[in-house]
Formats: sequence, structure tokens, C-alpha cells
Amino acid sequence: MTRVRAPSTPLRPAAGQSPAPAPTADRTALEAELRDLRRQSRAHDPRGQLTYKDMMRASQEKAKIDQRIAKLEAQLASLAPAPAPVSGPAPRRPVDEMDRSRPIRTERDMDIVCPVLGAMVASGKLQMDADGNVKLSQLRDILVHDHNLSPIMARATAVTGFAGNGPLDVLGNLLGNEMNVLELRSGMIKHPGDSAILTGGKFDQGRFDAFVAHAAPGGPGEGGRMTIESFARAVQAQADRDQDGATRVAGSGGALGWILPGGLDTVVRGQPSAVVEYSALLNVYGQTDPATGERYITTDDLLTLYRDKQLPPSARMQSRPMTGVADFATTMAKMGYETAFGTSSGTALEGAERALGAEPKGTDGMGGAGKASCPFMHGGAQKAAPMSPAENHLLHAATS
Amino acid sequence: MRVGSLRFEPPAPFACDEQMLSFIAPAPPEAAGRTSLLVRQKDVPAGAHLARLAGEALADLAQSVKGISHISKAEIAFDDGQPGMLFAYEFAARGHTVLRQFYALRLDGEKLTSITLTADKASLDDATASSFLDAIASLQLDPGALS
Repeated sequence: MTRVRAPSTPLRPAAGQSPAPAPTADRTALEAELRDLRRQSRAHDPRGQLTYKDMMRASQEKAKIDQRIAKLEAQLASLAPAPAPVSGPAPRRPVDEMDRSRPIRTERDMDIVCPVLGAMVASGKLQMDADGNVKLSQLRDILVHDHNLSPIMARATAVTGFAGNGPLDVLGNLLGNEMNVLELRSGMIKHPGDSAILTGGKFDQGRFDAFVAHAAPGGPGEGGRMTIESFARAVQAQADRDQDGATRVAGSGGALGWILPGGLDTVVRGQPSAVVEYSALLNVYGQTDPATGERYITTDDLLTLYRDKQLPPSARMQSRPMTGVADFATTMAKMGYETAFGTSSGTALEGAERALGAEPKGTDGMGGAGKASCPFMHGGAQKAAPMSPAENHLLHAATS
Repeated sequence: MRVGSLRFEPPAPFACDEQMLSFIAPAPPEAAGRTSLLVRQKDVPAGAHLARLAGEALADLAQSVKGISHISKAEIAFDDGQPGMLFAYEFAARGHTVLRQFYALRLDGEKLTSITLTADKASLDDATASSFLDAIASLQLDPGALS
């Protein structure tokens, strides 16, 4: 239970002023509690814990405390200014160390950090209640019927919304089939390495310019064209920016940013997430050059989406073939997402196979080793082995 | 060329760019499985950074190993002073058996070496885990390998 402490630097009226009115006293108490909570929040920093269990416990406690802090900040921001004294000398502001002339902005005062969800809400296609909650079933319907996504792809996209908010919200989101679009900034999907155009709360023209600087020249009235190659370059540039502590965008890590400090989070969550998001952007809202077959989205369309919160016309999405999982996967692969040491999971699974003493599917142990080292076996048998019938014949002839 | 108990002469101009060694220990009395140890070394592009490679490896593990949990990481030093990265995590396999895996990385120039040690979590006590970590720390590169 939170203990309210006396403030260490109380508000005190300047000489000649009447005593502080009741609202100021309320404010003082709230500020004292806020200071206490912030101290508690710092004390529960998971990075200071030695074991995983302690980290998780501290993280959960910190999340609760931070929620209380956000509520208090909102409460403070909504407090009416202190009434002027009835008589006496000209009113003066109370003397205090904190400058309250600037209102405290909470996440809920900011734009929705996801440009697509922001545009859906702004257009009225996606209904948001007063608290910022949206129904995931409605999101799925929009993706299928308006955005022309395959039902499977739409479902896969919509269900990520369960984890869009903080760790403590997942269960509530699951039970209510909803997510809060005003609290994505502090959620688990928010990651470093994105464009950060809306991370600060409002459209950032400078970051947008940096994003579309990777565009190829466009046709008349298009601005530029962001192609797969353009997005790949943007992903790399944004990852480089957030891996460096000196240039990292504040608040880019969301709820999970503390798990992998020192730029690792950018590699582990940031780059893959950015590739997924841009693949979706390109497949869903992009166009195809009839001459080259290349997929692109114009920088003008991106500006309209990010700044003006307007989706491309539904007719464009309805006129292209339905976008499915395979389209996303192909775009992601083309965008160059592959790990330089991408067989770590193969080695991990091979270790498990050996530890449990069972060889995979009746083959010898090298089956797993192959999975660990062979790019054609890693991840399953979707890719054909690079062997021609002639080579196969020679091999069998040599071993028979 | 000699690798472990093998001798092999690859045709010129082949050169070894990847090695993998596998070790296995008998199962402890009450364990569901044995303890396995895989050592793997491969060449990586010049200028690669250990932190980035470790991040990529962890991304691959997190996305591909079903049910991976309790992930923690530590920066370690091998016995010769070379820094490395160690991940520890768990995942369930073959029903209810929970495996504890230690995954260490070491970068020497363009040679990246990984050690994957897998044990049944139920049979892994602190002393055994400590001995495993000592073994991981003993990994060193043959001085002639980088020349």
C-alpha cells in the first residue's frame, strides 16, 4: 500500500499572501505522493535485480507503480489553478521548485503512436471508447472487408493487439477481446528501430523526412516511392540510430525496453518488428508499378497517413488481389531480414534432441546437426535441397 | 587435417570455415535425459560485433524455439580473458520435460564460436550448473587458428 509522505519541498506562500487554498493543498499532497511513487518506481528497476524471478517480480511491481504515477499525473494536470486571494497585494505565484506553468502531458494526450490505427480511428472506421479501447473483432473486420486482407492474415494481425499494452493488461485484453490504442506507447509491441515519427506524441516532420529520405524518385504527383529496398535501408538506418545510446529515441523501447539494454533490444525486437510493419504497410497500402511489377508506396501517401491520419482510398485496396500471409513472408524475405547467425535455434533444438536421447524421425543424429547447420533444412522442409536429378543418380550409384 | 579423432584431407583449395563438435554425458539417475554439449565455430563477416551477433542469435532463438522462457543474459569472460556473451533459458520438449540451456558466444576476429549446453532442468543443481559454466569458460581458440 502506498504511503503518503509529507513533501520535502512544500509549497509555501510568498510573503504577504493569504494561506494556500484547498486545491493547492490537494495538489501538494498529490505531488508528495507522486514523488514517493517515483522513488519507489526507481527502486523497482528490474535491471538492478540479479535473478530472473526477481526481475519479473520487480517489473510487475514497477508496472503497478507506474500506472499509479500516470493516474496521479493526469489528476494533477486536471486540477484547477489556485484561486486568487480575495484581498491583499497583487497575487503572486507561490514559491516552489517545480514549474507548473507547462501542463503535464500524459500518453493519453498524445496521438495514437501507430499511424494505421490512428487513421482508422480518425476516419471513424474503428470505434474507440472514451478510455481508448477498441474491439479487436472490429479491427479484424476492417482488415478483411475494407483492407482486403485474407481472413487468416487479418486474424494474425488483430490478435497481436492482445499484447499491444502492458504486461498486466494482456489478460484483460484477452478476456475483453480488446486493446487500448492510447496506451500503445508504453506497451509491449512498441519497439526501438521504428521511424519514431509519432513516438514523441505528435507528428515529427524531421523524423518523417529522415524516413522518406530513402525513397526512390517517384512519378508526377507522387513525391517519392518507398520500395522494398527503400524500407530495408530505412530499417537499417533506424536500427543504427537506436543502437547508439547517444542517438536513441527516448521512450522507444515500450514496456519491454529494459530487458535487453545497450542497443540489443534494437536487434532482437526492433529490426524484425520494423520489417514486419513495413511489409504490412507496403502490401496493404502500396501500389504496383505496371511497367516493372515493383511494389511501392508513395511518400505522399505516407505523409497523408502519418500526418493527416488518412488511409489510402478503400477502392485501391479492393482493386488489388487479396493480401495473404505468403505476400507478407515474401516481402519480409526480400527486405533482407535474415540473421547472420541464423541457425542458433537449430543448434538449440539439436541440443534438446541429443539430451533427450531420441533421434529425429528415425534418422541418425546428423539429421538434427543438418538442421543446425544447413540453411535448406533449417526451419523445416519448405525449401528444396540443391541437388539435381543427375547429382542424385551419381550419389546413389557411388553408394550402392 | 585432423579434427578430433578424424583425419581428412580435403581437396585444394578447400579450407575449413565451420566446425561442429558434439559431446554427451550419461543421464543422471533421476533425469529425463542426458546432458549434451555442442560446440560450433564458423566464420563471420569482418567487422562483426559480438553484441550484434548475440542479439541476432537471441532473436532467432526467441522466434524459433517454441515455449522458450526465463531468458537471461550475462557478459562473461573466458579463462583467457576474452569477453563473451552467455544466454540461459528454458523450454519444454517431449511432453513435460523442461530443458535448461546455456548458450555462450565468443568472437575472435572473424571466428564466432558458440557453445550450447543442454540439461534436464529437474536434475540441474547449483553445483552442476556451476561446473557447466566453468566448462564453458574454458573455451579458448587455438593460437594458430587466427594466423
